[in-house]
Amino acid sequence: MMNHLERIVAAVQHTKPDRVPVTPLSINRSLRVLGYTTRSVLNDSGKMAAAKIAASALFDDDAVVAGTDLFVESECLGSTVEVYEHVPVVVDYVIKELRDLDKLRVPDPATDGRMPVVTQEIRLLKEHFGDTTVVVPVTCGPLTMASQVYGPEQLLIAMIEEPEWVHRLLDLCTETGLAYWKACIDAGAHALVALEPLSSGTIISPDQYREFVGPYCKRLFDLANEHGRVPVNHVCGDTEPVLDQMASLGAPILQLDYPINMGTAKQMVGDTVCIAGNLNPIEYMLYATPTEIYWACRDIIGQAAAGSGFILGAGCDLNPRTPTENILAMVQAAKDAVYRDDLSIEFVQDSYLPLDVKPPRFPA
Amino acid sequence: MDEQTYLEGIKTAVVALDRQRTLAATQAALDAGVEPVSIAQDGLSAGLLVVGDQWIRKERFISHVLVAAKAVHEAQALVEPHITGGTGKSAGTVVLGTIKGDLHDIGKNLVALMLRAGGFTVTDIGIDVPPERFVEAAKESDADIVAISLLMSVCLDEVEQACELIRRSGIRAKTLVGGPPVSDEVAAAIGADMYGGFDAVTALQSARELMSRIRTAA
Repeated sequence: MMNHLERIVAAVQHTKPDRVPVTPLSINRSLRVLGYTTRSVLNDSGKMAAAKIAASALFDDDAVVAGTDLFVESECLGSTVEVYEHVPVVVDYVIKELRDLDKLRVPDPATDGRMPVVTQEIRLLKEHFGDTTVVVPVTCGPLTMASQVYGPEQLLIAMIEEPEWVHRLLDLCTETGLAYWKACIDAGAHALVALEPLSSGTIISPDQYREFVGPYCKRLFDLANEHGRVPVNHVCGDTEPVLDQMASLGAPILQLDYPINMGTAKQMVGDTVCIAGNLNPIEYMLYATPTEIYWACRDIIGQAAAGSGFILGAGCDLNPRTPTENILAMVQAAKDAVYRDDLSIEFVQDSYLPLDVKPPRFPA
Repeated sequence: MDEQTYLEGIKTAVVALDRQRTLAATQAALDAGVEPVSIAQDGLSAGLLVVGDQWIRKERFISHVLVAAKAVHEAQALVEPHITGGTGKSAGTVVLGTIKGDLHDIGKNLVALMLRAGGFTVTDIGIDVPPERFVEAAKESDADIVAISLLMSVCLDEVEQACELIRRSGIRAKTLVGGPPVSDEVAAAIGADMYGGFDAVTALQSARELMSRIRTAA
């Protein structure tokens, strides 16, 4: 049997994993395994690593995610970030007027804010796991980072009214991302995720993605590829309008959210990239029963796993109250889906009873 | 120029996302004696509703809606001093806020824009609003609807509490809950009167439907 890392690598290389790999995206949810809240531990590498290690043992999924959120960079750039129980939020944007951009500097990942905390967590996870599983931090993509230093509404308006200025801001955010990614790579990360929720089709147009997201994310992905690490392009929301662009930036893994159909995504870009996802983290992972989740995962596997280049998961990170048995159901669905030599899928057992005739509470 | 041409000019400027032209056309209409209420509703709001429809049809995106809204907002500042007395019949009174624990306001702000463009009287009580404050504000404005926005699913519990509190308080306001974590099923599960939709244009449609339900029941 393969270890977690080997399994993910086989998916990325479109060769034969032993069975479907799975990454439920348990990030803040993993802290709960040791009874922590995000607020209580986000400055403590040791506790975060311990919780992620415990979660990995409990769920037996194929990656361990370092970090907790996507506000590390903007906090270093000077926005005020407050931590609510489960999630940090920006309460004050560092840029109030356009000329404030001139005052910003690229942070030093060795000393600034929570960057050293996350890179230390990566080191601790690598110490524990070595190369048996994928150690991967979540980080903030450049456009989303820009919205956290200027404000999303203001940025969306500036993209139309002051595009040259926005490009200058994006350049600074990309330089920040590059410095942080380099530090995470040096700490031993196998892969790195760029979270870009602001770039979803729900918010920006494909032309705006082409102008304001693609070139900047590509610079991050190029850095990872140069160092032999795997960059992951994660955009929540409806990404069908920009899927072809997302697949052309050099990230071998695209993490997709629930609005997109995985079968369609597989047809569109499945030859060139590995697609990961995409069960609804709220309607399914938080609220549905393990049985409903198991069979919904089966559906997704049926649509998109054949041919390799597929990782089962949630569409976005799990709510901290997601029941353990729900996560285990998703992992079991992956374990029950074995690859044959021709890369077709064989369902070797039904670990959960068939759904009765009542349809799921929250249809996909 | 007749009144209709002035109003069309304003509407076209908004749809063109041209702030300068919107301001100029608004001022020209005011100077020509066009009714200020007409300028606001049939010029500015009408233009914003067109952009909202374009957004729903995915011809345009949030950036465009925000730029149009900014033009309308600035032009409305020119018109407001000229509006004496009421603005005519309101489509309904709404108290609007983002639930406690959630600091996102783009969605809520877009909802406020669309509701106002649609003739609703909106009291925007901001972000991170605790359940009790929704009840308080609804009492203060004798609201028809309490509209609760959320982006973060972790805040659903608070929304449920708000709906419960509103029900128990005896005020007449109905609850409309919207945002990405919500759906018809989720709205029903947490005790909201209606799902407000994923976006601001659907919010306006939902608010209108809720108002007609309220009027039918009355």
